[in-house]
Amino acid sequence: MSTALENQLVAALRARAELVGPEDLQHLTLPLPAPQRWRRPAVMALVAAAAAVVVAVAVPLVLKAEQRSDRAGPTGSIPTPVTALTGDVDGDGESDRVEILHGQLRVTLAADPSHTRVANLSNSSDVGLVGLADVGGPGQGIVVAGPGGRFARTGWSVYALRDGGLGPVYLSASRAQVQEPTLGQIPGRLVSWITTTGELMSGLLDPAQQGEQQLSVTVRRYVPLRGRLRQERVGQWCWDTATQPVPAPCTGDQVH
Amino acid sequence: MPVSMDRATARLDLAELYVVHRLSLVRLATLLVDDRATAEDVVQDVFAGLATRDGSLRDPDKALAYLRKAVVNRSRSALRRRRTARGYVPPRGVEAAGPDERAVLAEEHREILAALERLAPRQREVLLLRYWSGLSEAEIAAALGISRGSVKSTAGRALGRLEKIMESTQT
Repeated sequence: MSTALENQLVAALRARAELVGPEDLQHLTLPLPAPQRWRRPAVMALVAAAAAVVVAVAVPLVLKAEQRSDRAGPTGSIPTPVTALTGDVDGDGESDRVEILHGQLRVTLAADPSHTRVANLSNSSDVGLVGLADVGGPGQGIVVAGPGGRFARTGWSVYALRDGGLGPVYLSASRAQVQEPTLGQIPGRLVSWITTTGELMSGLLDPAQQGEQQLSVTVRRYVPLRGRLRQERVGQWCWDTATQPVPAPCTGDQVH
Repeated sequence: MPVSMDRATARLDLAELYVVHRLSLVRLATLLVDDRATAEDVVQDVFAGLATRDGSLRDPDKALAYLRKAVVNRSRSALRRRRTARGYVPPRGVEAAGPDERAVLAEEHREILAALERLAPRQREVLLLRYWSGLSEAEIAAALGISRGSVKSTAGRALGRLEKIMESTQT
């Protein structure tokens, strides 16, 4: 890459940035925290009234619902795999084209439309695209549903761009050690896994906890929807990396 | 009262962060949104958000990285709102700067800044953080919430495209 261009860019950015000087800044003091909406008197009164109703009527129902949601079971939605979709595969912010054709997974990048990246699918019959998901690689992973189009633990695979080519994302941990496979883990940042019920989950780790054994993980699940994967927030889970293969809902003796 | 002492310390740190880093953050936001008033609002909102949390951060050593990330995110939101409000992608470029500012910039700077504006938002963010903020790949990855590999590939492609745009405008 042209060093001259890089030098030119540095000089131009510096020149543009330095047009803003200390004397130009309007705000002079550290802003005060904005009052939170829920602390306003009227809102407090409404909250109190609503809380009374909840306590009197709905607590048993809520408790039952929480017990069910802690298990994070399947959403019940079976994906409808497609043969082509678009999305940002290489992480450059532009939409790339992904398709399955003649038993091959083909990716055409918006940044390089003349060169199609190809990967031969190991089981090429009756497969389809489920969507894209951040599985910790350089770009987004392409989730491919297996024969029968079922998004199940045994029927999925994930491909991603690597070293200029397209290839499968292998498990980052030994299959023997985990009950649920983990995909493309970035230590300290992101972990993705497939549950035994076939859901693709992703957990964002707090970088401040890097190196610790007990981790708090912000967990999302990917819900297939018409050729795309929609992220849904699950909540804050706990992960004892010494004893648990993947994050799980916190138990009573675990704290966030 | 250890808790209140911790909070007091955090507030002091926040004030210090404001004094030390506000200008560089406003400059970063200016490069992202190309409008000084919006940039200043973005940075003010970021500090207000942190102040709302009592200036508390899990790791105070990473406060600057947090602020940078927040500035990038809020700048992105500001650009999105601007596009939505106008109903089209405005021809931003350096023309968005005031006439006095335009006159000050050298022609060569204006050319490459205009080319920069034609890149995809993510590509522009990576180049700004790398060549103006001087961040490492890991720091850029943290600021943008993407992987290091993605930073590297995006930067490479962005420079390539920038070069092509520059060549096409010079011919």
